[in-house]
Amino acid sequence: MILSYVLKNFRRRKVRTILMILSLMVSTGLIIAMSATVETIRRSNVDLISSSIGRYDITVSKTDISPDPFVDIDSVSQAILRSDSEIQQVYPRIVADVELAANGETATASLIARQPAEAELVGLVEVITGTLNLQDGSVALFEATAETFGVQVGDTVNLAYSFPRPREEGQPTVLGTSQRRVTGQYPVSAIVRQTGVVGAFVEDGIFMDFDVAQGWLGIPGRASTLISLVDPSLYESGNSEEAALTVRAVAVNVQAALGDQFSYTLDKAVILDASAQAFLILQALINTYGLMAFGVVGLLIHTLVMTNVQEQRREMAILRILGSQQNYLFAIVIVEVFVIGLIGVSLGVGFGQLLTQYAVLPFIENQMANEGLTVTIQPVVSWTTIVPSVLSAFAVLFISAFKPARDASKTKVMYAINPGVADNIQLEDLAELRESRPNLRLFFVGLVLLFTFIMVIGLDLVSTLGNPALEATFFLSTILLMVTGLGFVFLLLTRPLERVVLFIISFIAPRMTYFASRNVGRNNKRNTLISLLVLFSGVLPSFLATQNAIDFANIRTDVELDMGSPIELRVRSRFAEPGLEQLDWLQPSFITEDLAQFSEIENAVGLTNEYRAEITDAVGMRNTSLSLRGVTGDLNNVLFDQYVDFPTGDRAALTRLVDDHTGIVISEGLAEVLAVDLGGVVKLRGAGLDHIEEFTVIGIARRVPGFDEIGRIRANAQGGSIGLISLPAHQRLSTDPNLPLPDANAKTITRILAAVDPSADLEELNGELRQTFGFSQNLRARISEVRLKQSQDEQQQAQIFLLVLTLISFTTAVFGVFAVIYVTIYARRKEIGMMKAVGSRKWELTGMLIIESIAMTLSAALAGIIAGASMGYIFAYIENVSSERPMIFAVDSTVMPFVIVMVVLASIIGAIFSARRIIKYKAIEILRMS
Amino acid sequence: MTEPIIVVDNIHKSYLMGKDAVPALRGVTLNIERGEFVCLMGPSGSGKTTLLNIIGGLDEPSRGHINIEGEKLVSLTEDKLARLRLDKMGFVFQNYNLLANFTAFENVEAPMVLARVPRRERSDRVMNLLEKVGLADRAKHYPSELSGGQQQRVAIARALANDPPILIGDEMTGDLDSETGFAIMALIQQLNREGMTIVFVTHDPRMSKFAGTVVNMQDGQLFNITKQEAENANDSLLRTQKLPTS
Repeated sequence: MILSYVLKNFRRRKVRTILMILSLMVSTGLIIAMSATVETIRRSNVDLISSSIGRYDITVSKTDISPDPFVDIDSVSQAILRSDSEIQQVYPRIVADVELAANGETATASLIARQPAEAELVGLVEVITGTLNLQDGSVALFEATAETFGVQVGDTVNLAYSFPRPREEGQPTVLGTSQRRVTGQYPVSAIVRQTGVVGAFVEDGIFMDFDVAQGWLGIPGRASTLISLVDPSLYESGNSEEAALTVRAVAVNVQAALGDQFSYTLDKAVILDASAQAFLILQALINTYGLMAFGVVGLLIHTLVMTNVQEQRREMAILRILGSQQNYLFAIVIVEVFVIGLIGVSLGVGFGQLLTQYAVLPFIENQMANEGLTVTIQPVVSWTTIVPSVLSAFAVLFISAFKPARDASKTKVMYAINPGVADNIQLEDLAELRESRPNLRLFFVGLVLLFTFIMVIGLDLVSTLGNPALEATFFLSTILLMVTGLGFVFLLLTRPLERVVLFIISFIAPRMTYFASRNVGRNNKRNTLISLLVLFSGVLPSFLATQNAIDFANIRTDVELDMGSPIELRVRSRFAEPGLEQLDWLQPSFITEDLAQFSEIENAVGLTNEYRAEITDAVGMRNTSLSLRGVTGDLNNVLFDQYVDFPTGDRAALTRLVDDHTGIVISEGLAEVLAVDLGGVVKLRGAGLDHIEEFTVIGIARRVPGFDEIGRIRANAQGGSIGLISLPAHQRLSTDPNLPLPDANAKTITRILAAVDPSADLEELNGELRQTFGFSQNLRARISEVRLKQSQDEQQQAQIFLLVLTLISFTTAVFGVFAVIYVTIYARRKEIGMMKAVGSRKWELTGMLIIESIAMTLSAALAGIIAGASMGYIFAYIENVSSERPMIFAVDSTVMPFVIVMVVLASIIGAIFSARRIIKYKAIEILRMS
Repeated sequence: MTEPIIVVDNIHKSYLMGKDAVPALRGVTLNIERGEFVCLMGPSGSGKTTLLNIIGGLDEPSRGHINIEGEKLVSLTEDKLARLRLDKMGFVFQNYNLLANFTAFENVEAPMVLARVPRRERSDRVMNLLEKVGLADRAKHYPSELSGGQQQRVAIARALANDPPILIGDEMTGDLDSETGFAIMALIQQLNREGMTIVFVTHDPRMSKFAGTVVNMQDGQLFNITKQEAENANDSLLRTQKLPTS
């Protein structure tokens, strides 16, 4: 009986029913698609990582102190295979850095030699030109290498390999020496691209047949590395962390079998382990968006069901007269919503799967291909993805329908007898008046306050539990709370914004705005639901978009402040042990000799290693510690000068510093800590006993690009700041007075800042610097313009992600807007009829309703944007203040206009669609209806 | 004899009730002269409201012709009908049908806005009309702040906004007490004396006495047309006001 009544209701209210089903379908579908995408990527993660790292699991090679750097293939392979049953294959490889010479150019490249059996199984080699037949003694060059050297198929390349001398235990490597050196000349048979053979970061490489390489190096039966492949099912658990730890357990068994003379690397497991956290955060972010989307759908369903109940009041009253129990009326509403939910959610599950398979995954694969990773992702829409979404949808449905159902169950019989007086207090109300019920509204206010309190103290508490998933969820719940709070606060703005919107529209359509402004502005029963719905949907995208826009606008500032100069070279020491890292440091002559070969580099200043010293005022009353860096030249010639800020004195201090061996430039914060002024005296404690030197403060800097530790904040300076001194002063201070001073050209430079000729080809220079110094000097070269471009590309990716999230959050909002406008217009039939009777034409009425809709939704969208953007600016400002960086405030020009366009379009389409039927009727028909 | 302002020629109107056509009007022919005060009376279902709606251009006949000031309504599009209502007719409904979010002033102003009357002229005309219905001091009040009689007077002022030659009233006094009803009829009578053609429907025989012509309907046809000496509504109003209060 209930079901047949419900089905009849569906027929009666086709539009509303379709709207509810569609909104549920779209929101469920989108959430399932998003979750499925994360799940799919998570499960495809092993494949993705394999593509970028190499499709093998454990690498075994000799340690650098081993007398023989090569591994005996047969015995070690057998030992590895025996050590753990999970290891399925072991292949030998020769992987070595060789010198490659061709067409007059010489540089370092990676030689990768492997057996044909491995080549068939591990990774993918794509031939671009030529034929891959390495057994004939030819080599294949990586595409980038062939381009760098200008090598074609058929050309010949010269290879040279220097056998490393083993390092003595406890002693550093002696650079520039080798046991012996072999050379060879090889024809190039193919130019190739690889995925999963070695890491994607290997840009310059040469493939050679394993036997040919063995013969060339003269190491029969031996290899430089053994790669092991474990059972792929170890990764099928779907839990990245668990899989990584299982592989580690296998590696532990291998280590137990082979001993400590081998070194073991598990790059795949390491990255897999690290990615687990990233997926948790991503899933939590999607859950937050999902909750918001369902919240919006809930509001929409609540509105529509409430309208249904009000419309059906007379019928309900008749049913009550006929003897219906209150529970029965309650059930009618709940069953109706449940049936709608069943249809909508089922369709949504299907829609989500289709969306994942045919839209999202091809997009991801395309993005991966752009990154140079060839992977085939299998879509995963598992029960673990579907069930939470479906349960959330039904929970939201029940909550949304509860109040209307309760109202329906309490329908007064007077609605059937005399609707005009039904709202007056009836006899049946008296029982309710006597009832003393707890106030649910107060209960919810209490709940929100409690929740806020938990949020405030909770983060610390949750972090003690050490569960990253819980932390991520908690953090995003805080964001959700912030969005909700902001939404309620900025709801106040919707009224004035409505006036502004109407004022602007009045210039375009004055007559229609005349009516719309009165209806929108003065309606006491206005629907705050529509405002909240749009406002909530607008806050988070605007917040993220503003942050993104500010980040984007400040990329140059960030990169330039971070690097300090157009080119930055840093020593990447191979040693972490104190005392050993200086083996890789550079001599000052490196700047005047090696670096001077590059005509594009105009000026270069070397910075010494950091020497940690105590600094005090003249009498030692105030003291703290700081890191001292010696400079080899005038920093003013290389720094991005727009950022240099000396509030006291001037930047010429950086010039004077080079020749003033008792002068020091300190930060403004440190000057405050020590309470010293320009020209004041400070004392620095140097190496050795009783080694205290007096320095004069010749500059107080607020900001020097490239030196984050120089700032104006006193607390930061107490934590450690940087002092700049001359190179001789640095040498003097860092040397025990009992020892002789080191040679003026001793290795001490760890960082070089340089200026570049603006007309130089920076990409090319970057490549040349990497080629020349990357291996031989362990230098990492960075060029600001190249880094800037990389950062901009990354920001654009983030922008796309943000647009997708906005689209999802607003798709549900659009349904909400649509539904609310529909209900609003439905409720105003009488007024529309009267307007028609008075002489309003169809287009005038449609125009009026469109303007009303736009005013209501656009004002809410603008309020949401203002709320989100304000929060974005506040966050950015706080970050800026704490990091002491200048900041360009930027306005997002993609997501926020997109929000506005979506809202306006939804309003226009919603109003036209909703008004279409009613406006078609004659005035008298409408009046008769109402 | 002057040319009729409203010519109703053999009008038929049927409504579909499920699959059956139920006739509401069966060949009604009626001429209404300019300045005439016509009351349509009859029992429920006699077709008087249907006829009034057709005269007002709110509904269209199934068959037959209707002319308003020489313009054939049947051939007009929906938008042209709207324009005709805006220019030539004013409507007063039983339940006033005022715009709830508009003040009395704005309710009267609304048809002028639709007719593109300049703002300054609108303001003067609205105040004149509100003065005419005795509500100049209630101009800024919303409908919810007015009594039923006051709301109906605002509705009348609104009906007069674009100075139409015809006023159509559907049970104008149906929701009002006698005293207020007589006051409204006195106002309508006054408008008629100023030359406006009035056509209205009522159930109340007391109200029909103020019309010059009473058209009685029955079963969708004209039963009879009675020309009468109209009573002065002001007299009825005065009599009501002299009744002792209990």
